[in-house]
Amino acid sequence: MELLKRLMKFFIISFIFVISSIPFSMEMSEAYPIYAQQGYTNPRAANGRIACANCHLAEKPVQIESPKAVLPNKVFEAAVKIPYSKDAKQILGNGQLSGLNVGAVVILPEGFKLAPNNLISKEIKEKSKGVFISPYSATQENILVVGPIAGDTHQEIIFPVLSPDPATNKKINFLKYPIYVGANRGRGQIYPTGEKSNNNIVTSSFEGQVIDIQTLAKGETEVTMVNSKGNETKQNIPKGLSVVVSKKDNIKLDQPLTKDPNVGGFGQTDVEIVLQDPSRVVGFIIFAFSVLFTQIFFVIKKKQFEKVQAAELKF
Amino acid sequence: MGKVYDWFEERLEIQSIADDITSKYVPPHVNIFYCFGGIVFTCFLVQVATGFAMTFYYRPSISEAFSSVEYIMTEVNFGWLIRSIHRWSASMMVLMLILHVFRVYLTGGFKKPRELTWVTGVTLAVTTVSFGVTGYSLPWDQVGFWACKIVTGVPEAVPVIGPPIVQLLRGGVSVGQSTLTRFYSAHTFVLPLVAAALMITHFLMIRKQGISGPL
Repeated sequence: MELLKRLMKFFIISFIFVISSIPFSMEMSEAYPIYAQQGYTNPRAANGRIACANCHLAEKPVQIESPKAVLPNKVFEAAVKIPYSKDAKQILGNGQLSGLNVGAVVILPEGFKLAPNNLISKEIKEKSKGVFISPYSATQENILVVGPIAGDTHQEIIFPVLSPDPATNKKINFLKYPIYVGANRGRGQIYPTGEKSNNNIVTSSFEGQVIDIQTLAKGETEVTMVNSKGNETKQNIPKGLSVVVSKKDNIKLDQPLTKDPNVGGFGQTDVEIVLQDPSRVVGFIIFAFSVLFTQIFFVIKKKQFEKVQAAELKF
Repeated sequence: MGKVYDWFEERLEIQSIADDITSKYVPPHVNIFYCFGGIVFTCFLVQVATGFAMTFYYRPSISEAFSSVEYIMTEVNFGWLIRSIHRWSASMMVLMLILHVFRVYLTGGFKKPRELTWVTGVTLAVTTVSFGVTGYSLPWDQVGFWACKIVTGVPEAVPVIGPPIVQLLRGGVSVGQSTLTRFYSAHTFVLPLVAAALMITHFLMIRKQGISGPL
């Protein structure tokens, strides 16, 4: 008995250990949606705002294309389009310029989920090479996340989705459902810690006249200003940002010292999709044909009646 | 059968009603476009039948309206069919009404002596659109709520009497439970009554004056 208890204890402890280590292994991932996955159990707030917008502050358009209606237990494609100019270059953390990355989150209705690999057509597989779509969390299979991936080759991301079947899942009904989508290109402006990234305008922390602009060894720029009292202050601008002030400029507090390096932005939108019962479609077709035939028969009957009338008039 | 007929004939003179109905002939210039008015009326009957069925399950409160509509769509036997017909037939009714107005206008059906028929018809059109506006907000979903907010805010632009009208429509300063209650009461009681009264006058006048003449 004692041995059994000990064994149980061992198993429970090791189980808890394994489970609790899962988040750490996820943290290793370079994916930035992971910040949202760690911070929010539901990426869509009650007011409709998607969590990505908390760090990706600029607003840029996004589109989603999905079928108006789907039958149960079928795979369909939802294409998220993240347009931006391919000439655009963004600033990296180390100050160098590079192409933009993209990422997206698709919040499907309850019961909808990522299509299993064997149900995805070869065409789609070919098109979405290098795109790794994963569920938002273990409990939310209906929320799909992708990114960051190279944006220049993935301005359109295709999500293969499997629709649920109300026959097997009693919680699902044939109804019109919303699909919410958020998509982003480019780096964010804030880290989850609240710290600003270097993908921001640098504004002046002081007031005064610029007396010196120097480039430091690491590529940083140092702006020296003197205020009306004659006090000298220095402000560092990280590498990669282009300075817009020059010597002898009078600078006010919070005046931009650099151009806005951000070329990306986040956007969100939604579409509606109907989970359609095939028997209803058949029913409607039958109804439509019955109406058509009834009308045709009415016309035929009237023609016949008119003939009878014409014949009787002759007598 | 004869005895029953005699019993009613003795008391209500039903023969004259039957004679009146059978003595009316459709003039030769009448074509398929003259059907629009009748189709609008048919749509109205469909709306009455399906709407009546839905009052069994719909609850006009801001906390229960949406879930009760969801219940109609998912749990109630053929609820999805009844509500879908109500919704589509509503759109069809407005469409047919517009076509009917076009037909009457283009064939000069509003001219003397049928001015009053035209006036009741326009009032009926306003009533029908009011049905649409109030019905649109009843599920109390996102579109319904915002449509309600925008529509009830429109009179605000009218000077002096505008703000009181807005308050009257909303039953308060902002859109809330009292607005939904008002819309529900209008949609299921006031407007049907008004529509029925107007339709009787509309039809009686058509009956009296006959279908308007050829072009």
